[in-house]
Amino acid sequence: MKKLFFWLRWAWRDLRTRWTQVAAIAFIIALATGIFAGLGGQETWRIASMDLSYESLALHDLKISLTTGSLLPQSQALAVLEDIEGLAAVEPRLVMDTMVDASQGEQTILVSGRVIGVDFSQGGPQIERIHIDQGRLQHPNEVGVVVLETKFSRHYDLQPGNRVQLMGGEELTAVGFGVTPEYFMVMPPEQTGFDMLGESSMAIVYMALPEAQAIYGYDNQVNEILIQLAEGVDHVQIEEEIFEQMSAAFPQIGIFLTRGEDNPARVMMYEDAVEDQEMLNMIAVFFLIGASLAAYNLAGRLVESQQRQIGIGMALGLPRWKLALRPLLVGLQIAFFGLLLGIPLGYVFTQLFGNLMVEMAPLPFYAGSLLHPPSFLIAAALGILLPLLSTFIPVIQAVRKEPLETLQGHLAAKDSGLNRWLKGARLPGNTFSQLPLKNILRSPKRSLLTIAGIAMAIALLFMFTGFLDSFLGTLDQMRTSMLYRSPERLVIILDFFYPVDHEQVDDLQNLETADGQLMVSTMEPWLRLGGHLRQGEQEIETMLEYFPINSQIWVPNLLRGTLSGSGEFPGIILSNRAARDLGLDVGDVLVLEHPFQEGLFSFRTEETEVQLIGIHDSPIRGLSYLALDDAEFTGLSRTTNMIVVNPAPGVRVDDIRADLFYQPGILTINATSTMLDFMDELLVMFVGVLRVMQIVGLLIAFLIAYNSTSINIDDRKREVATMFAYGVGIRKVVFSEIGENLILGLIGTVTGGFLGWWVLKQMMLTRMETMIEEMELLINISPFSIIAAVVLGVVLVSITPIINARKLKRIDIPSTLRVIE
Amino acid sequence: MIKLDNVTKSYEMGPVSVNALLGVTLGIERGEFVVVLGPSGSGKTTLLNMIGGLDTPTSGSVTVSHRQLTSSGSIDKFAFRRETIGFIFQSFNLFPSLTALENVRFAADMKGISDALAVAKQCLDDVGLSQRIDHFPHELSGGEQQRVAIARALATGNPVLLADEPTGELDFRTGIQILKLLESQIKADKTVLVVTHNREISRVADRVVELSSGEIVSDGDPKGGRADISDLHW
Repeated sequence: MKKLFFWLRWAWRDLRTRWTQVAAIAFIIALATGIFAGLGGQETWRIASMDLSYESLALHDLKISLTTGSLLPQSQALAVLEDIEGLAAVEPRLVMDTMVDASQGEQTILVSGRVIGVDFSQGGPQIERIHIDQGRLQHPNEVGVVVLETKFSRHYDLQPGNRVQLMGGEELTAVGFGVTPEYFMVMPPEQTGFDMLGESSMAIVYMALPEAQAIYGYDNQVNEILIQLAEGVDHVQIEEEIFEQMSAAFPQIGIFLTRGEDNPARVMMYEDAVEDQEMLNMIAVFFLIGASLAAYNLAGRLVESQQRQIGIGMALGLPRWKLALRPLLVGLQIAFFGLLLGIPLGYVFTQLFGNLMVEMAPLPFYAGSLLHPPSFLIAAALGILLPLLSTFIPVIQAVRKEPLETLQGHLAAKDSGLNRWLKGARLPGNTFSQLPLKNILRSPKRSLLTIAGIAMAIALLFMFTGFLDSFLGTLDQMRTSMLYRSPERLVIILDFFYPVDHEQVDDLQNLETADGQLMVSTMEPWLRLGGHLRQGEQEIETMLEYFPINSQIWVPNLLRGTLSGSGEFPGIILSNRAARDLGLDVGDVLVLEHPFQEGLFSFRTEETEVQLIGIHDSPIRGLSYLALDDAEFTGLSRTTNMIVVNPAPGVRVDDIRADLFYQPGILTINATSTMLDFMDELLVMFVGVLRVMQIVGLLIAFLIAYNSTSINIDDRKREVATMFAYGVGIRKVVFSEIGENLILGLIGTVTGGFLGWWVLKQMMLTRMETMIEEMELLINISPFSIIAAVVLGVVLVSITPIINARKLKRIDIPSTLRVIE
Repeated sequence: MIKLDNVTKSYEMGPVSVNALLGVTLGIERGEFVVVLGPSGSGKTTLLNMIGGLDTPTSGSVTVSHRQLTSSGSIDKFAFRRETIGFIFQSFNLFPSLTALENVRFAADMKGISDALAVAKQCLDDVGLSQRIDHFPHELSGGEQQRVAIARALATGNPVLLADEPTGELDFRTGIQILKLLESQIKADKTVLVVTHNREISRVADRVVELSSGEIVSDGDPKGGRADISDLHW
């Protein structure tokens, strides 16, 4: 034991002489192990918390929904389901999209919303229970009160007792704020054709079913039924039975059956947990590789400086393993310090990430702690093993030399490395300006390791920059696509299908300001219908807009093809992503599954063959367009549920919105730019996280370069002292080091750039494409970002000699010139 | 050319103060070949470092080539070394990534000599290495490396050459070659100061200064008169 302490003390002294280098490596190890230890268990924690939350609040097993605009008689529908065995609970609901005015005092809060009428009787709802975060749940017979979705309420700092108004003027009191499993992550109304509405832009309003039915005049009518299945029943068989029975009972109405586990928000949340873990692990691995390379560099230098001492040990007859012990213990101590710092850092990451998750996607229940002992143990093992292994290689190389070679090694002039390649070559500049390149070539292994370390860090930087640019680029493309014409236009969604010459539609044209000016300059009735596109086995959801071919306001901007078809099939315009996913090109024929109006409130689903006539430029996969003149096959020709208007000059969107809020028949009013604002809002947080990762990448590059420079100075101390003896000033020596780092930084950054771009492309193509199915992500790094990353990478790496200048100043010239390592 | 007036250099080593030089007063004229002789720890390298502006005396004054070094700042000393001194070290201290020619040219470049390449070639020719100019230090023998180091010092064209144990790591035959080279610099009106513990070497000097425990114990002609280099043996 005493002997071990002796070696440890000796190794500790070695370590202290290089404490800044050790600290830099330990910090990189700490970042890697911290991420791994702190966030290694986030997937487990998130999934367990989601499982607990979904189970506690009884996520539905099945949901029956109807073709847009359809309604079912509540008692008849329930009677049909009563005859089916294996249903544990059935909950009818009326779900209506609307606008909600939650303005308080001076603050205007006018947003899209969704009213959900649920059954509060007998302690209900039994399925999709409401978890109350603040205030209370309404009583079964209480009228005029609602529960608002928590995230929306918190965003606007609403309080129980605040008043809200629904479009049409219904005034209600919010008695509590809560959440249901379907809205752990808020998704938008289908009509927007856009599934990323932020919490601030969507108000979910829970109210008693009879009251919702009364407000909308749909007595005893529902448009959704939630079902919970009994234990042990065959899900597939029962789904088929429900579908058959309901379709038979209501043949005029399109019936859809979806599973709770396929709820898009749920799927996204679970997938996110897995994908995030993979990403975090990858970052940790990149960091660990960087740290290991730096540890290898330092160990190499350490062993080199101890060469003679190792030789003396050999001469004294010490066994090789004992000779290896001292430098290995240094490696162990570095790893230990990294770990020691990494564990509290891991705890900090745990807290930060936990808070971020609670902020971004809060759940009603959390399963235990984010701290995950197995991840801590794996991080500890990796954090110790990798640096130790890195030390191992140069140590073994050193102790395997012959004693004489080790003892006299210092007498031999140091090798010129790869400079032999330059023998006879006429390089520009004087010997001093050539020195940086020659120094790099002199220690090719160290240079290569430094370049690799920098490249790892820059690859991370590029990857995150690429993520950011790709998202921003996609958003820009979306913006360009939507706003290339009539950027001020408004889209008004009606609560049903109205004849195009209906007075309610005409009224929109004649809206006036208080001083009698027309608010609308142009108005066009359009149609918007959900549906499915099918080609062979492939099927995707779509939001189809039927537009006037001679629209004065807006038509889709085409990448190829034409706006109107001339063939035997109606012509459809798809997004590039949809066409690609379906394996189609312009001219191909596909099947469109769409609603067909049978009666006033009944729609059935029909299939019609359509021809792909054009590809539009929006990256949103689900957006499709068809000429209004071809809408006959929907049974809805000469009707409209979507009005597109251009405001008159000087009229604000909010003016029109406020004016229309109390008019019946209007569901939502949105400026086209609004959904882009939602996207921007979401991106703020996303950008913040990516920026942090970029900074961390730069920090690692800096630390690796700092370390390398510091080791180089140690290594070349005698040469520097010789330069000083010959009157070369400190500034000049620093310039030379800067020049060397500039070359290393440039090569490392360019290599890292390509590596980062490759990883980005792989991730975008393989993972993000499936993760974000509804978008065509444009893989892109802007020239500005490339230049910024290169400049930042190169500059940060290049300035490290300035920080090391103090070390140069402290060189004792006489003793360094005489020192023999 | 070189003037040391009552120079003392003390080092604090924990609680103990050690005098490396104690009241040394010395004057060396231009073109002199002086050997500073003494055992290990006698203060001879400290003396050399004082003259080369690498170290500062605790008290007393050092003047070289009309420059008062004692009161000079760090930047002035860098300039002084660049313009006045040529160093030759025991362990050569060549730049391993530069060839022999580049090592020599480096010194000329740093001095700001316009035809540095030609000067470097000439200096290497002078030390008999014109056939080895493209070799890296590790490809040269110890003697060759030291000759490159001398060529490097010569390439600066500086008037004072300071050599610290220049033959310390060399065999006899090579050591003789080096001494010949140093001696030949006197003809070029350079002042050469060689520090050594090898008494034999002092026999070829114009003047021998002997140090012991930081003090000059003798200063004068070599004992037994100046010998020819060919008469040396060790």
